[in-house]
Amino acid sequence: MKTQLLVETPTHKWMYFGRDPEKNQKIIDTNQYLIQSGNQSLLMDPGGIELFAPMLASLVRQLPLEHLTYLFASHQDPDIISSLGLWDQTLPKAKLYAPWLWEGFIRHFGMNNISYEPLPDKGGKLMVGEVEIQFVPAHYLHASGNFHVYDPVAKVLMSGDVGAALEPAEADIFVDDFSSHIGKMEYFHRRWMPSNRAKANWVSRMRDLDIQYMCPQHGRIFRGPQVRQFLDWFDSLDVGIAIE
Amino acid sequence: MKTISQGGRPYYVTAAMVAAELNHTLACCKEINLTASNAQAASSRIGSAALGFKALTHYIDELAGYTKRAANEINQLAKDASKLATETARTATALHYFHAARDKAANAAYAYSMEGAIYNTEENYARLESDFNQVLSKMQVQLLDLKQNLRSANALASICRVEACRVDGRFQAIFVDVANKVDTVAAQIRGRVDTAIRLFDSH
Repeated sequence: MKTQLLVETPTHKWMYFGRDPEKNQKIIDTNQYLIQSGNQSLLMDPGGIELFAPMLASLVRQLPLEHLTYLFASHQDPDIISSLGLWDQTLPKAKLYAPWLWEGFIRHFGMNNISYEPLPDKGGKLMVGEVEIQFVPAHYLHASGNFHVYDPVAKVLMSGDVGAALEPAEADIFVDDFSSHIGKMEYFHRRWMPSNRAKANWVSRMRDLDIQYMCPQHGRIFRGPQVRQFLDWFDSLDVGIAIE
Repeated sequence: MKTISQGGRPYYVTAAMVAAELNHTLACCKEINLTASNAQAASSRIGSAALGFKALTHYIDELAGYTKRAANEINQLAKDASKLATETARTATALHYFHAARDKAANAAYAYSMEGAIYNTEENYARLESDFNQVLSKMQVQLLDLKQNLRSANALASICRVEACRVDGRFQAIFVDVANKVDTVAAQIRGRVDTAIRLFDSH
């Protein structure tokens, strides 16, 4: 599995994990992100069962497991958190931050040890080591209870399925040319995102944040001006096409 | 003793199937209970001529009660076994992924930090397997006991037929019916119990 340092500040760093070459080709490729600060870490959208072994193996190259203290699930989908039953046996003292709406559903993946920290609809904050991160509401994008993670110090937004693209697993991890990338994400956003109203609300709130890296759970990472380009493009996109 | 990790149909499926068979047995027990009540009512109507038969209805009732209790207990054991087998299968899956991660991370700086989780999971797996085997063995013993006890149903049915000969011809059919019912339902229960035993033996 590919591992890459995204950003490093004096207090913490963001790591990327993904593009596992041994992954079954029939399952969608996913990106996992880790914030590490001192003896604490947050693993975001840890992935599905099939990804657990390469993910665990990649993590222990970066940190001892007792430093992996928090998990985050943006929503309840299997590619996000179906590995929970395995993490539950790996990190019995960890805490899982996830939408309150999905607690009863996510627990179906198996959770006897990890504690579920339900995120209220308005979001919340968490200290990971020396850095305070924000859980930003992204409801209906695409799940009805959905959050993104914003780090105001490193200026990174983990944007879940927003910004996702469908392309081969060997693709680069960064967007190179925004215009040519549109074709790889347009159908995904028009079909998976259900609400223009929710989209407009999210775009308006994100415009107020200083974002240098926008990190989706599938596809490629947007950097610098590409973030603004994405917000403009997404703002004008008509979503929820399945009912047309 | 067979172990949970043997091939073929997963044990949690077998245990669930056994529980289903025993549920049917409970329905059969209700039928025997009803038969015993009917026989008792008929004996009372006939009066002193059916006193011998009336005493038998008590045994029919007892047999139904015992069968019901045993079926309930085995049913509970089957549910426990199914639950344990499911948990064991999940733990085995976790071990499979842990071992895969350990192989992949052979040279990782913090590979040692996985060992605690792997050790705990292996311990948990061994405990679950042992608990499962205990429940399974208890269930198999109880199934055989139940089968043994059901043999008395045939004896009861035979005595019912003898008692039926002693009453007035007009009432004989009622008691012969009771005897036939006891025979039929006991055979049905034995069939279910045999199926349950076969389900385990087929592993």
